[in-house]
Amino acid sequence: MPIQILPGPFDVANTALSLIKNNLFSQWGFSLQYLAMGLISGTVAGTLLGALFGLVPAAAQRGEPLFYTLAQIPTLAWIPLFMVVFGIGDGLKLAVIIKTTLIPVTINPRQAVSSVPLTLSEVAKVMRFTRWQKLRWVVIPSALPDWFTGLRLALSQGWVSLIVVELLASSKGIGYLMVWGRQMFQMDIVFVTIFVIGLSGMLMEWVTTRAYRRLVFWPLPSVGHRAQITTSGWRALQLPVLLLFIWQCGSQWGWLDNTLFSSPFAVVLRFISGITNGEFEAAMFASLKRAIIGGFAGITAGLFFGLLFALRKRTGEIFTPTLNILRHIALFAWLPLLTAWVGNGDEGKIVFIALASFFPMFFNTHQSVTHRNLQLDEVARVLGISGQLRLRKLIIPGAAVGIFSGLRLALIYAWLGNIGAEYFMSSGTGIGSLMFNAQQLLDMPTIICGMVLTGVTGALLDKAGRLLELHATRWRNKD
Amino acid sequence: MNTLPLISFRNVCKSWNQVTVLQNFNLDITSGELVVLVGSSGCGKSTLLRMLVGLEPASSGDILVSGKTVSGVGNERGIIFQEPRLFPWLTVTENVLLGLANSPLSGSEKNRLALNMLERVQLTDFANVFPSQLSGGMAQRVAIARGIIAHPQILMLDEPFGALDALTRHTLQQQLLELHLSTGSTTLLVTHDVEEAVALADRVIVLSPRPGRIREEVKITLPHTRHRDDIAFIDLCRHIRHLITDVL
Repeated sequence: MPIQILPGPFDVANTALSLIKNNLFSQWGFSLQYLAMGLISGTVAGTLLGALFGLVPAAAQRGEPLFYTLAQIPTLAWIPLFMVVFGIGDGLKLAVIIKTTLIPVTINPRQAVSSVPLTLSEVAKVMRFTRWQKLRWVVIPSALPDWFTGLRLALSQGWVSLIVVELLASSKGIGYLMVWGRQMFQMDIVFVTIFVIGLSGMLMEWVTTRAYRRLVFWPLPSVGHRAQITTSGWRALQLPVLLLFIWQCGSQWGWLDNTLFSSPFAVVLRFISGITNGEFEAAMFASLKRAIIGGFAGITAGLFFGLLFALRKRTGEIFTPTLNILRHIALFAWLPLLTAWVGNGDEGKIVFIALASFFPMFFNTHQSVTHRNLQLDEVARVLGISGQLRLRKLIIPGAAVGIFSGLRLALIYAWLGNIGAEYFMSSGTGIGSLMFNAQQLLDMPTIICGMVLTGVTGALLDKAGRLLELHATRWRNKD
Repeated sequence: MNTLPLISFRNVCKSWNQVTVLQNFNLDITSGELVVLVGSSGCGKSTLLRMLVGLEPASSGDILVSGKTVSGVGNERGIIFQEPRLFPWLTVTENVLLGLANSPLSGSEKNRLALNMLERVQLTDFANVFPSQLSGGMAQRVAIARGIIAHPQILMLDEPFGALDALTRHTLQQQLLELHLSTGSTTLLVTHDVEEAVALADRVIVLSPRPGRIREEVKITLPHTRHRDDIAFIDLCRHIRHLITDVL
């Protein structure tokens, strides 16, 4: 193998040593520093916002619908907009990480705050706790596990987003080092950076898991009832209408820089022209086609190997630990490597999408088959149910909950993976390429149209996944 | 030797790590008998059933069924567990049909048998619901239907009524007895409930705690319609209760 394609382990080790002497740690440090800064700001803002929504119903009714709607647009789709607004510098990185952090840190404790177990609320009432006592002894402890879950999610997603930004637009950081290595065709550098990124992911998971165990030492109540977020039409609309109004007036009378904040009207016009001249349809078609092909391959492989490695223990023991380590590598860090191996065209994108959807499908399937109900296994043994019948009546339905949540994630990952791949290989057609190219022309209306289309598609995929899951596991319903 | 025992335990020992659960256990059971195993918890009653059904191997000794050593599960042996263990994603009928997974019958034959079975446990109205919609007693009846639909020659029940209320328990005991008498299967029942044992058994085997051994065999010669307020019935219960509790 030529070193430009697949350098040997010794070459990589040598490069690692020379990079360590040179600037590996400082680049890594840059990345971690921005991650920490973004995470802290996002966590503070998100916690305050979550507390506001959870404790003040009036604020929740007005602010939440808009928040949830914007949350539907994935971080990836915000990147072109942020690039126009903040330029390609440190501000961009911070904005992306704060955006990524804000959503899980707000949503998770928000739901927990409003779903404090009724039994505990009743105790608080009977004991006549003051508002402060209730907050301290009931609300915060109930919300803490979810807050922490949100934080963990924010950390891993923030790390992934940071890598994306560094790959796309940056002049320092570990992701930048990777792109630089790729451009110089020094795959040994790419491998070293992949290793560092994977190691960082593992360390983060280890630290958060330990911290979680320290912090939350009580058994969690079973997840059953979640607060229903009730929306009342008019109050939900007040804030978006007001913002739109200010935005339109602002651009009309020149309070806002028109290149950065084109008016809502311009966005609508762009949308209509994009639809009528077929540009958006073609882009969506190209993107969806890729996502479906790649997603299908990844989901099929994930399901197959998940089942295989969980049911054939020996085989599983050989492969699963390796996959477990690879899982820690932030997904988009594979992009530079894949472009070198498979190329910049559709094939490269499809392979990346397949990879993106493989991991969630594989791990969810594997987990749920491994942790299946052993009592039912015994029943099947006694009744002599084996082979294909066992797979059909026992294993797959028993793991259905996990398989379907894996499927739902895999669908989203396929879509996001596609957008990310299009940013990185922006030469083809597709909604991501459209946005990324529009960003270079500072074409705000196109970017915003792209964001909406990406968000809506993602939300529809999620909805479809949920409906499928609900249908396939309807035996769980009590009535 | 006019009749060979259907089941024999010969010097069966079972230990987990260092703990001996059963030591030199010997017992013969003839075809058609209803034998009840009683004893305090942890004396190895359930382990005996799990070994006989083939879910666990004995550490040493032999378990013979019709003269052949047991080495795994087999069609002629069935078990009903303490928990219903229904497949939550299958309807009641589909759960019962699982009991015929290895039967050569045609699909419509199987369906007919399953409906027939559901009629016997009085669950015809619930044929197409999922287990999550059943009460504990109903779920256990489905489990019983699933366990006996294939007419196993040997039927084992591991505290099948333990988690049920007194009324349901009583009804199910009667149904079990009727099923046993009508099918002529050999039945092994494990229970904590001394009255249940005396009400159902041909023979009650009282086990001593760890390591499990037979403390005494009590033959029950009362007629099959037993009244729980009969003096003889009460005396038998008292006797067995003494055997269980006064071991030390």
